[in-house]
Order: sequence, then C-alpha cells, then structure tokens
Amino acid sequence: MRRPRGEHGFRAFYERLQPRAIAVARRMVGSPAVAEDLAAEAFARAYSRWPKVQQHPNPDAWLLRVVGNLAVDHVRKETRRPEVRGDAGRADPSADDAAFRIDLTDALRHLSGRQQEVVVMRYIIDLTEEDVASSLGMSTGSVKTHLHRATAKLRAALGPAEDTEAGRG
Amino acid sequence: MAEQRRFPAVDDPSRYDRIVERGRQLRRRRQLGLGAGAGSSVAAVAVAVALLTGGGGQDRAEIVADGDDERGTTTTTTTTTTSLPPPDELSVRVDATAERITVEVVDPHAPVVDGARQCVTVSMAGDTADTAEATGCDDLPEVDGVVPVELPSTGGVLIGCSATLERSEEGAGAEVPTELRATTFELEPPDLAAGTYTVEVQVASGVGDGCHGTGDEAGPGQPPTPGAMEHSTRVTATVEID
Repeated sequence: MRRPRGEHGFRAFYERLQPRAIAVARRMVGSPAVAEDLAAEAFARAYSRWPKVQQHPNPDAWLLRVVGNLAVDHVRKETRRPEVRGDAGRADPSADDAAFRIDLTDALRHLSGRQQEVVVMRYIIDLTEEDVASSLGMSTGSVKTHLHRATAKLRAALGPAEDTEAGRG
Repeated sequence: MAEQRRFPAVDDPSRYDRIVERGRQLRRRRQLGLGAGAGSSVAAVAVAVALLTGGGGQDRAEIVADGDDERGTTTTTTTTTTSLPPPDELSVRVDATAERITVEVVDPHAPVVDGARQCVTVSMAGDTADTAEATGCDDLPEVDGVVPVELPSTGGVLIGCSATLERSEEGAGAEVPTELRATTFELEPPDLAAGTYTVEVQVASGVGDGCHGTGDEAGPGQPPTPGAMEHSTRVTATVEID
C-alpha cells in the first residue's frame, strides 16, 4: 500500500539522522540499548508531529534536542539510584564516566531553562552555535552570551566534585 | 544482563514500524483529546479541568469527564484556581489527566518587546514520595501550535519556578506596545506511584523572571510596563492515579 508522502519524508529523516541521534544519547547515558531507546522515542515524537516538524527551521536540531532532553531526564532518574554513585562502581573506569554524566546533569540544574537548552544543544548534541541560534530563534550573539554565563555556573558547580575526584587519586 | 528495551534494536527490521506505531499512538492521544488514555496501563485516567477566564474576575472550574471505563479504576477530579484575573486579562485553561497536561495561556496584553515570553511551571506532588516538575516557555520550538515540555519525575524534590528560570531584562525601560499572545503547552506526566496528586501550574506572560508571585507582575487590568512587565497567575488541579 502506498504510504502518505509525508511518511516517506519521515523515513528518510529517520534513516539519515538515526546514527547521530543515538550518538547524542550515548554521550549522556552510556548504555547503547538505552541510547537506542531514547533515540527511538524521539523519532516517535517527531513522527507524531511530522507535518509541523518538517516545517521547522531546523528539523535535525529539533529532533536532536528532544533526544538530549530525554537523555537528561533519563540521567536525572538514574541519579536517584544510590548504587550509581556507590564506591563499588569506582573500580570500573566506566563508572567514572557515569559519575561525570550524573555530575554534569546535576550541574545543569544550576542553569536557567534557556541556559540548559543552549548547553545541551551546543556541548552535548554538538550543534554549531549557528544551529543552536536558528533552532531557538535567537541570535548567535545571544547563544554565546548564554554559553559564557552557563560555563561559569557549570565550572562553579562542578569544581568541588572535580576536586573530590582528584583527591581520590 | 540484558536490559529491558522499549523499542527493537537498531539492526531489527521491526524497529522503524515500532517507532511509527508509537508515533501514531502519541498522535491519536492528542487528537482524541481528554480521556484518550484508552488502552493505557495507567488504571485511572483522571480528567480535571480548571478553567480560569477573565469573565468579570470570576473563576470557574468544571469537570469535563470522569475517569475511563476500566474496571477497578477511579477517579478524578478537581480544580481550584487562584489569582483571579480582571476582565480582559490573562486567562489560563488547564486540562490535567494522568497521561497529559495541557495548559492554554491567553494574554490579551502581552508586551511586544524582545525578551517577552509566556512560561509555565508545572509541578505534581501528593501523598506519595513521587513528584514531577518542569518549566517551559514559548520560545521553545512548537509543533502543531503546541509547545511540548518534558515533565520528568523529580523523586520528591521540587525545585520551584524561580530556580529554574532566569529573569529576562531585555525590553525593560520603555513604554511597550502589547498584543494578544496565546500559547498551548503540552506535558506528559511520568509514571508516578498511585495516589492523589496536586497539579500546580504557574503561568507568567511578559518580561520578567517567568514565575508567578515574584513581584514583577503588572497590576490588574494594566498592560505590562517597565518594572511591572509580567502578567501571571496560578492554577491547581487534582489528579488521582491508581
């Protein structure tokens, strides 16, 4: 059966962007399976709104942003599980990566909503400043300003944790 | 140990179909409107509507639908509203169910300046240890005229609006023209433990910190002016989840 034209467009969008979507999720969650699930959920949300998403000034950025938000939410949920921070996990080098992701996600709480968006899109999703600006409907200069302020806050928030890590040797 | 997955793996040919199926499910939920939790594993689909309008400063609450037809389920209800708006002022409508919260914001006198925005902060808390909270503004990308806002579980910790949004100083310092500005926000509550939850929705429209009750609000019936650049209100509803 012939599929609607819009759905064909979605399939191409999905096939083109899926590797990057999964890569974005993996930067935050580590687990390949979870990353694939988060990417799939983001694509499902895009599908549910596809007529509008494809009219968005930057559909790729929109989708990757949803992936980033889902990943941040996932890590926040994981943060509430005490065993994630447990000393036993420190024996595994990957546990340090997980701890860093959690620290970073915690640190994001110190940022305003807009700063969070900009940081996630620029540093986690790895969009260019121009793409962040077009996706959020703001100037590149504003993006840079938000990044500057956010970086200062993140540095302050993450600083003590880094000292602690270094102290562990 | 294999992790439980919601979607097939990347190399599974059925993955795309599952994504499309999930997408259609999400679309159906939106299109069917309230009480559309058919087939949901959430037992109780509580539908409460708080309607806050500018009709002579009166607030009105009404129950649109009551639960679904699944056996053993309950409930619904409620609504309370606060911050009575004067006529022709900021109006907010909240449709809250166990599966979706829709917030419709209409400000007939929103300032037309850089930095103006409409924001909502939605929190869910009740008689369990679970909570959920999110903030969103209409400067997020919208689709189908709706601004989707993630509403994550926050594990018993509510951060509050002031801690999650920052003040916008842009646009202050001059007389500002106004216009009608309307935004619909849509949130999907996370899986929460069974219980009764109060859904609090704070709404702010204009230039300020995006939060209700923090001193930036314009006077009743007054357009936002420098130093009082925001209209805001708060609406609550109750949802019971089985």
